[in-house]
Amino acid sequence: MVILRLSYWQIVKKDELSAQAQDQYTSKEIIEGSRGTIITADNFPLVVNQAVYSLGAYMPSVVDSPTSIVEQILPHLEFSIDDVSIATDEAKLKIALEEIKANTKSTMLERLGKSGYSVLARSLSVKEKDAIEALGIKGLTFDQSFARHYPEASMSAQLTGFVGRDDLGKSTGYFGLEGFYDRELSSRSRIEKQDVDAGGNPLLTGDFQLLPGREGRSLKLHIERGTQFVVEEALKEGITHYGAKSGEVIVMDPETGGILAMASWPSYDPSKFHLYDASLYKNPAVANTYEPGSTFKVLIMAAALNEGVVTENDQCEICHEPFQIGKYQINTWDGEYMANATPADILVNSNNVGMVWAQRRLGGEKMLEYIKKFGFGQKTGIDLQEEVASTLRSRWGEIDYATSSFGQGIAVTTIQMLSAVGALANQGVLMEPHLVQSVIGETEVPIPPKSRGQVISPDTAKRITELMIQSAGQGEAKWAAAKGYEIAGKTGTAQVAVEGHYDKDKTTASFVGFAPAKNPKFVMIVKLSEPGTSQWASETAAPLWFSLARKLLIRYNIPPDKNIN
Amino acid sequence: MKLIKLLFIIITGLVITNVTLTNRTVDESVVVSKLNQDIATLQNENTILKAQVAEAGSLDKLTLKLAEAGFVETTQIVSVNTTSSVASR
Repeated sequence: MVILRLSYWQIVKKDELSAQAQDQYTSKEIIEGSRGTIITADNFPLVVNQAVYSLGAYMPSVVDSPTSIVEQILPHLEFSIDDVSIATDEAKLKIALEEIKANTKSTMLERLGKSGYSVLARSLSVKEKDAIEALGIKGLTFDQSFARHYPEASMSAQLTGFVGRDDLGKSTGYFGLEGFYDRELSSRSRIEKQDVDAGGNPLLTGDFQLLPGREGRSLKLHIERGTQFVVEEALKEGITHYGAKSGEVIVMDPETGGILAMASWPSYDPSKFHLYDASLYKNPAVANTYEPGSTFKVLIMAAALNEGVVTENDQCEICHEPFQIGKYQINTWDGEYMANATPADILVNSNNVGMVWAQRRLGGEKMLEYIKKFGFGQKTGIDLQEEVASTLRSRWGEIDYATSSFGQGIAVTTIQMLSAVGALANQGVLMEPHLVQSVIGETEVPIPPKSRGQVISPDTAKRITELMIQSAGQGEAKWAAAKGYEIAGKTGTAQVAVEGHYDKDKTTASFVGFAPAKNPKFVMIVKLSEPGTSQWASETAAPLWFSLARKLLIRYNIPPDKNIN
Repeated sequence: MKLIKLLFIIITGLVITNVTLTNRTVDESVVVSKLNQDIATLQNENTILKAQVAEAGSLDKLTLKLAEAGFVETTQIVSVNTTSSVASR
């Protein structure tokens, strides 16, 4: 009988018992790696990982009464109200906070009444955790995890994106850089299987299996912290000052395509993204299209100059009156008609009829070829997840070519417009705009600047720059120009299409340009949607552009030249 | 017989050595375990400190502190003449 019983345990139950024994002396540890951080070009963190804690209670170890525990814990918890209308009203805030405290108290008491383990509070900060831990209440436990933290707490939310959970509960980056570089930023868990003694200490002579993990790689941006801050502050002030519905500013190095600053408003708080409307998640500078208006004129004029169909001394033969195309009439924005206008006059006065003249000399097909070469109708390749390619119409009529020459009837994204003008500032070479300059893992892997081709010749780039200098210095926005600096730029006021027709009062005001004009340090676009104080870009976007340019030029140690007025 | 004795002595010696070494490694494992814990704690503290330093040094916070300290933004450029001697008598 004994032999039979021993045989049963030794032979029949061998595998099962071996497995049970193995479980007892084998420890399996899963070590979560941390997600990579995002740092600026000057090595300041834009996104970091912050420790948060879940407060739990293991009832068999609890000694104090539930009421006593809750009374001790509550004063150390920090409560906040996200609803701005309540948070800014002292009386309402007090009531709301009392309500939250009462709810928290009753929830905790209920959970402390259960047996086993219960979670009492989540997402506690280090300060809250330390304060509660110092109370020395028996039976309480703290589970640590890491959440994304945005120390600059700024308008760059639409740049960074956010980290949420996918369908399987795994941390995943959505939108912006978090979305585009999710694979790089994500970590891989390290799994260690090791024989341990009864005290849980590893047995160095025992079995050891390792599945190596990987820490998330970090991203180093072209973005400069100071420039980003200056741009964000200026945009915020500009939107308030000009009563605009929304706004965007992008600053780019034309030589490399590196984005030095990028801000948009309205925005959201990426650490509380779930409280905001999902429409705010997408970066409008790359995900929304608009009609660029007169800023587009510099591109078509550059194409005409490059093809040699227009020269600086040519005079417009059709500029003395409105121009008729079929049933449509092309007018100037101010009703003023200047006979024999030169290309410089056309850009200085933002003359629509003059642009139709240049476009007709260029030809429709050729113009479309240049529009595509400047990168319209396709994605720029910027490293943001939600970028869209504005689609160009499939069938073009005479009127479509004409209106497109002055930026109406064609849809572009803000980044496309900036990138195209960047080519004018970069000797005619179109660069791929990029936010990340290197990915840092075990080694730092740089992302080199990428050219998208020579759109116009370096000589044409110089010539169009001269015309843009005149446009910025003598055009409608000359009153706002930065004294002492040579700036190449162009305003654009485009009416907004609403339900199939253009709304007279709603405009998109923008200004795009680069400085210093002859040796550009940056190319910048300012775009304001539906400004309230004036519908004209020369009175809204342009002064904001110039005031920002002044700050940036000083920041880049470029002093004003006394010889330039 | 001599061979058996010799083998017995060798085996006994090896067993004693094995037990001694195993015992030592078990002691070392406690040290290894402690070191692993220390590494994890330090890494954790580093991450927490990084977040705290980033928060304290953010431009949002610095701007407020500078304004409180009485600093104001200036748009004027001050140029320093580098041709003159700074150590003239």
